[in-house]
Amino acid sequence: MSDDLLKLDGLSVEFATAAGPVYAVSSVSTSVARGEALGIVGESGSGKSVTMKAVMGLLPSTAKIGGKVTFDGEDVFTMSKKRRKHFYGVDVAMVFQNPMTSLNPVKRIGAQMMEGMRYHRGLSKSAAEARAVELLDLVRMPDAAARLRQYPHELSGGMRQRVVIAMSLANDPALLIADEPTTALDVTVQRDILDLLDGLRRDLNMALILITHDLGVVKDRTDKIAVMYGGRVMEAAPTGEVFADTRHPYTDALQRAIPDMTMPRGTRLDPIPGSPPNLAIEPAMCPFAPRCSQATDECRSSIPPLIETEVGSAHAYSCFNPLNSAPVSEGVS
Amino acid sequence: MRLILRSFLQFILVIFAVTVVAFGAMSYLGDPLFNILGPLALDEAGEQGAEARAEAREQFHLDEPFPVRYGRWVGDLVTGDFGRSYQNQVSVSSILKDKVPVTVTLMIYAQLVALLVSVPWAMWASSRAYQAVDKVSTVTSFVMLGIPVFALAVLLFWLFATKWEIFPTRYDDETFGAQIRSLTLPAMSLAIPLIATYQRLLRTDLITTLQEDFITVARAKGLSKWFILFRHALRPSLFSLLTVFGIQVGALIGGSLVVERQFSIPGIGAEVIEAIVRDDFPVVLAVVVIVSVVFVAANVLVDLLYSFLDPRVQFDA
Repeated sequence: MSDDLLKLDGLSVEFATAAGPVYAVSSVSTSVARGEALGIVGESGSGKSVTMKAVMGLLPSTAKIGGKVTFDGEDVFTMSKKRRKHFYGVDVAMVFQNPMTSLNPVKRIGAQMMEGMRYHRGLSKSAAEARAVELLDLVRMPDAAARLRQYPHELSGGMRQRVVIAMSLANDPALLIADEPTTALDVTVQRDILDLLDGLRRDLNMALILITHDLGVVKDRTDKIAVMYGGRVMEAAPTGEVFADTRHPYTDALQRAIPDMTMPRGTRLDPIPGSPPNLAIEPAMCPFAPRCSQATDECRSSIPPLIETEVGSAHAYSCFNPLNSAPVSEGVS
Repeated sequence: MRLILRSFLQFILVIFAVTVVAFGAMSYLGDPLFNILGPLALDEAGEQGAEARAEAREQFHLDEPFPVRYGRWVGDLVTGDFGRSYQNQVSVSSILKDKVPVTVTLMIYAQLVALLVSVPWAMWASSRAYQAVDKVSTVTSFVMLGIPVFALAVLLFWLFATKWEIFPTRYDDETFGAQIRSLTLPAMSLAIPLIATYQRLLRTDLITTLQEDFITVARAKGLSKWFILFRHALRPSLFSLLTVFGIQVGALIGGSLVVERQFSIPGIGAEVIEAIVRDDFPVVLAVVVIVSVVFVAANVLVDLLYSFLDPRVQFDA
């Protein structure tokens, strides 16, 4: 698609460690269009956060990044230093996992919110202050004007995440990346924050990448989903299809792990047996094969490529033995 | 308000303890009469000696019990009267009046230089932590720490005053500019080990702070490296530096004794050494009091600064 705002094309990240390279992310391709919401789902170590940190230039210097990332057609990794600053400060913004540590404990909320606007846009102090209040109102923070004088420790976790979100919106980003924005919060607050993000995306016509380990979180709030495992995309599809027409056994296993209010009491969730793959071994097989009930020798000897369900379809998966795959697809092509 | 009151009480308590110990030591060590009168004190037989002894006892209240003498001394102290020197009975205040400002200027000069060099250096090193330049800077700072102050003073004096004649060999305080010029080499001798100490501490704390999530957030905001270092990382990293700064105020006094001698600076360092040699207790006591007041005051200030650095620090607990 040509209207892609952010496009990842074969992005790989390797970390050089004393014990040898760690293959954190391997040829990840995905994209998000203006105003669209993309969910990236995977468990710890699936490479979902590293992927986005690579985009944001937040990886340590030991990381070796391969592939290409474009923003509005412009190559992110070859941007000039000045353009880069603007890219991170204005075009894209990121919200992190832990609101308790995302704010500088010794700076007032107002100062932290205003610095980005003043730094990148040269707003006057009063203009920045007015904008900060406006943003806090936007994230439905009660008593916005008074918050500017407060320190982070005077606010609860949920309120701090609202501040972090408001701060990220300071320069009207075209894309907001939220990395597990609710993982560290109380369950009751999680929903509020997720709905807030969803609402902001619609109101501000902003693209949103929502990173989570919980498939339930992205179900009603995204247009499409990429499921990652072992640093690779296992399945990518429009959100509805992920649930209605699941192809990858891993996606299926994740769905079984979502608790549902309508389940009878005492129902046990299906955990996925085994543990995540060792990323220090150069990938040579399907990363999910050791934990997969469908795995065959083929899965253990080569990496399944990402294939589309139909030619030109937005639904793709990387599995030799997909679920629900009627042989019809053979006939179409 | 409670905080200030508490700091003040602490201040009084420490000064009380210091003065009791110092006054006690001075009163019971040696024979003050001998120190005041010299050989005359030993002249048991002579009428002149007895008269002089009685007069000295009277003048210095030597016959009164310790608490009374201590009370009298403290009473005079708070009115700014440090008593009289055993030597020719001049007032201690007049001896120290011109010397205290010189030493204080020297110490402030040394601390300022130390902070102005070490803080940017530590910031620069922490932004390149574990890279080659940082390792070179670490070795450099250890070399600076390893040279004793007296050796530094000799070395700097020889190089910059004698050999290249960049700085004066004699102390001159005709103008403030001349005084600063005269104090530059001594201040450097004191500052160089301090620079290294501060740099080591601040670098380590900065490296820790730079791993914090809020630094990642700041980087994701597209702020520049130095903006992040100055506006986000520095303040939360200043605690160890501040603590050691307070302690160094005391240590510097010891260092200035050595340095003042080497550069023949008429400060309290040179004076107190002479006073100790001639057992002139009122002068020694006065210096002990001044030094401890400065030291304790500096550390109370440091305590107050903690809560300024981090609004979460509360002293009410």
